[in-house]
Amino acid sequence: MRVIQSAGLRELYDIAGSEHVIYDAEFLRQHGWEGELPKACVTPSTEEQLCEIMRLAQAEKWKVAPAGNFTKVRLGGVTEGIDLVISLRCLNGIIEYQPADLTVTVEAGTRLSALNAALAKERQMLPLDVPFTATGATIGGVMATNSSGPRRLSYGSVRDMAIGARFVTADGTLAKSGGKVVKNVAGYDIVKLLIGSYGTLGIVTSATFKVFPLPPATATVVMGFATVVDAMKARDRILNSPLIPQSLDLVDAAAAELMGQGIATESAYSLLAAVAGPPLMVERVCRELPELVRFDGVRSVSELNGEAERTLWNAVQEITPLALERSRQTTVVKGSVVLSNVGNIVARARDAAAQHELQVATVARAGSGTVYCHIWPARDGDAPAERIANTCEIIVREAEQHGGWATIEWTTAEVKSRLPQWNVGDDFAVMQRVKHELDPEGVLNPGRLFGKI
Amino acid sequence: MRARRGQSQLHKVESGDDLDSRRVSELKNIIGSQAVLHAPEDLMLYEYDGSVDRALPDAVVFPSTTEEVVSTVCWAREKNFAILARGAGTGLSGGSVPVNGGVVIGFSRMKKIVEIDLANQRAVVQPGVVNLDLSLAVAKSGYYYVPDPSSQKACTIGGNVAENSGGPHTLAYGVTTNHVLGLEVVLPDGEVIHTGGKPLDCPGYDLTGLIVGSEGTLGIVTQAIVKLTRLPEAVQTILAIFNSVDDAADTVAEITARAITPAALEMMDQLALQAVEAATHAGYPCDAAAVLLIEVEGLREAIEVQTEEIRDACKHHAAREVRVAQSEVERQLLWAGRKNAFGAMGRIAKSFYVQDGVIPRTRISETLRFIGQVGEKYDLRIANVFHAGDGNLHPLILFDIRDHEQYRRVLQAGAEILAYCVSIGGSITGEHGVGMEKSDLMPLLFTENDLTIMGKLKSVFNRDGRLNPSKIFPTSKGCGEIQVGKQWAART
Repeated sequence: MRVIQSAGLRELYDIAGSEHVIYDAEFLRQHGWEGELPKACVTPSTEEQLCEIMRLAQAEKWKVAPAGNFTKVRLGGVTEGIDLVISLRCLNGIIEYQPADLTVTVEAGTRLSALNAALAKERQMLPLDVPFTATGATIGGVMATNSSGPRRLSYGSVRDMAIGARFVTADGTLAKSGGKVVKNVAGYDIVKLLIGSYGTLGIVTSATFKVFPLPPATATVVMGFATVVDAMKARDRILNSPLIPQSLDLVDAAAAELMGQGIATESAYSLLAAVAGPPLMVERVCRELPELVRFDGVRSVSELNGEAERTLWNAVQEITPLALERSRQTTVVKGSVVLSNVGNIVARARDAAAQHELQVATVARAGSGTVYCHIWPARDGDAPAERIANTCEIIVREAEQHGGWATIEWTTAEVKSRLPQWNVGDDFAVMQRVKHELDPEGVLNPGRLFGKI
Repeated sequence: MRARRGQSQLHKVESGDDLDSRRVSELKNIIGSQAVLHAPEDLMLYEYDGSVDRALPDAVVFPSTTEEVVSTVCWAREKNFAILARGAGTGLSGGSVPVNGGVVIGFSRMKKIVEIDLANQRAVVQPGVVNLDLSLAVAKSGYYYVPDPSSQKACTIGGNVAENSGGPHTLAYGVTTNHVLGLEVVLPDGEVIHTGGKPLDCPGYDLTGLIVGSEGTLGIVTQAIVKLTRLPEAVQTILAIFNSVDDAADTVAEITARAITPAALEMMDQLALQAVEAATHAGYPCDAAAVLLIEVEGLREAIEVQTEEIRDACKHHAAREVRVAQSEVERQLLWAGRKNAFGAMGRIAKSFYVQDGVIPRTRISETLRFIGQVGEKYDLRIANVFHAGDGNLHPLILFDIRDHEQYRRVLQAGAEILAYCVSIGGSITGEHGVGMEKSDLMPLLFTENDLTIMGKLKSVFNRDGRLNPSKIFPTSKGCGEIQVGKQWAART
């Protein structure tokens, strides 16, 4: 154990208890921590402890990185000079659940998987099918990073489900926004600000969500295409019909191979359409979807049910961690584009990767415009930071050219340092003022959010 | 229809002199003489919205471009006038009432649908576009704009964005904030920003999400990017008639328990039915204790199953009749009755005061009983027309505008109902906004800390509080507004 250098660090014991303070933060390296290690990691057990810790941090002028189960430590920018990591994993549990009200209030350190297991007992769900669920993603982490999944097409993302939150600000103030009822316009919607803020404005301690009934039946139609253009034509026809599925993802053959989903490896591109609802409805959509797209160059059609269907969607949901395991260099670019630009981004990423001797595996939320390009070196042992950075830039510019955005979610510190300056919009100054107003000393997660807010 | 609130809140507070002729001509130079109203008889048309509060503006201007909005805002900044935006004036919380006077920016000339981008399911609109006009513009292509406030024939998208408006059909698909992707906003210092965009997940802070529902206190929206949604294949509208309010309320819970999320689930009680039937002749039964108006939509197969389930749930709770609309005409008539319900109150009372409390949807029966008791206690008639599916109540307290003593009781009854909603875990407003009407009730819901943080965010956008002053925040805790009062007093 390292020597505890300051009274402030010792005070953490008094606040959180000795078993909740770790001074040797070496374990964070296993979770991908980059840069200098923090002085300590603390896991408060109550909101009050968290407030006290934040007040202590303010007094000691510590920089703080909030965390949950450390599944996404490396996601986003590299933090600068963090003194203290605060994990909310002990603020963990369901506070209030009224199935008949279709709402649930949970502490931020609760695992999404645990929450959904509890909801499933009442045949309900929080349809956030986000990556890292299998390895312990927490509610707080999902909110901070605005994680989303395939079912966003029908249920939206966390911003559409969260109806209230309690949070602690940089100066240790406990506050809330929203409430516990599904419709509420009293006061500013600070929950929206906190979602996707990467913990730079405040630390969410609990949140209330709308929950949904589990659908009575599901099935998935897999349609194979030779080109992304054909697949997008089919996508347009599906979205423009009443047969809109609950998820509609495009996967390329490389992604299917990475996921070990043979059903989608035979065609260059596959559209995966998950259908959910009463059995008769599911039956009809599965019957009519292939019929609907028959002139759009569809090469193969198959239907999945039961275990095979669940396995496929689990793999799609968890492809990012899978790709990160594939190589230490794996880089994940997330494109947020209009529907008509999904095909371009996918094609551009493919060409740019090939040109730079890189592999790319792409999964796109074809009905929402969210594209995930997973990039890694074609040859083992290759360390192509420069080429990866160039490929990222090509994808970013392609997205921007059509009014969209692309962000580099995952990559190595080396690539991060080579990435071009982020093009910010005319609202960036306002974002900076928001940050300054809520965290004037820049205590919370400096450098983590894109644009270095 | 509208009443004056306590006099102390009505007259202009230390706002100094009126707009003199020199300033009027300055304004006219900025945006044209046809676009400025300043005569007292003209200004009186802009002293109210759909709520009960009133206050006269110093001037009303009608810009036709974002640049003209910027010029007006810069002028108001230099001359230290309060400014606020106004759509159709259908708001129900005093959001567009100029509490301390100032310049009202009316958006009736900025009503263009700038772009309809069906391939990307987006529309770009100016703030003055009427809600229903947007849905009508894309209906032929099989799309619509989901949020449908009952005032949708008149209310504007700009006003909807400011208030984060709901409507009967937001039960399944979410309210305005779930359908707005980007905004062009003029800040009170004249800065123009663009938040969000057509795609989802704009990187950085979700300023769009913060500004929607901020009741015009953070910026003036001059353009919005909204989501368009595919029209469903089929719709089924069901009218369930009950002899007991409790049975109707229990049916709402039963429908949820059966894992059905209707597109809309509305309730009207007997007093409301009598008014609605007198006004619309939609075929509502005047002798029933309550009715539920339920709509399911989607694919035919799903609707058939859900309709049967709903019919069964209603029968299970002693519905005396369950009618399924047999034609689009019948469906439209039922909805006309519901959507014109507020207006219909004119048939049974001189004035009404509508509340917008929200409760957990399982607590409807007990809350309606409480509302009944409040009515008895204050000797007032209260009709209920509301979004039962999401627990968003609309008690309509009936009164006579000329009876000041009665009006005092109306306000007390309203506050008591809202306090009850909060006490069982609800909110003081589900879709009408806090405005000036409920600002003093905010401490029921929010702590000093909560309000301080909201105040900090307000100061980021609206530093001196000149933009739509005296809204949302309790008057005792103005967050910048006390300061404004002083500046006003010093205005020359």
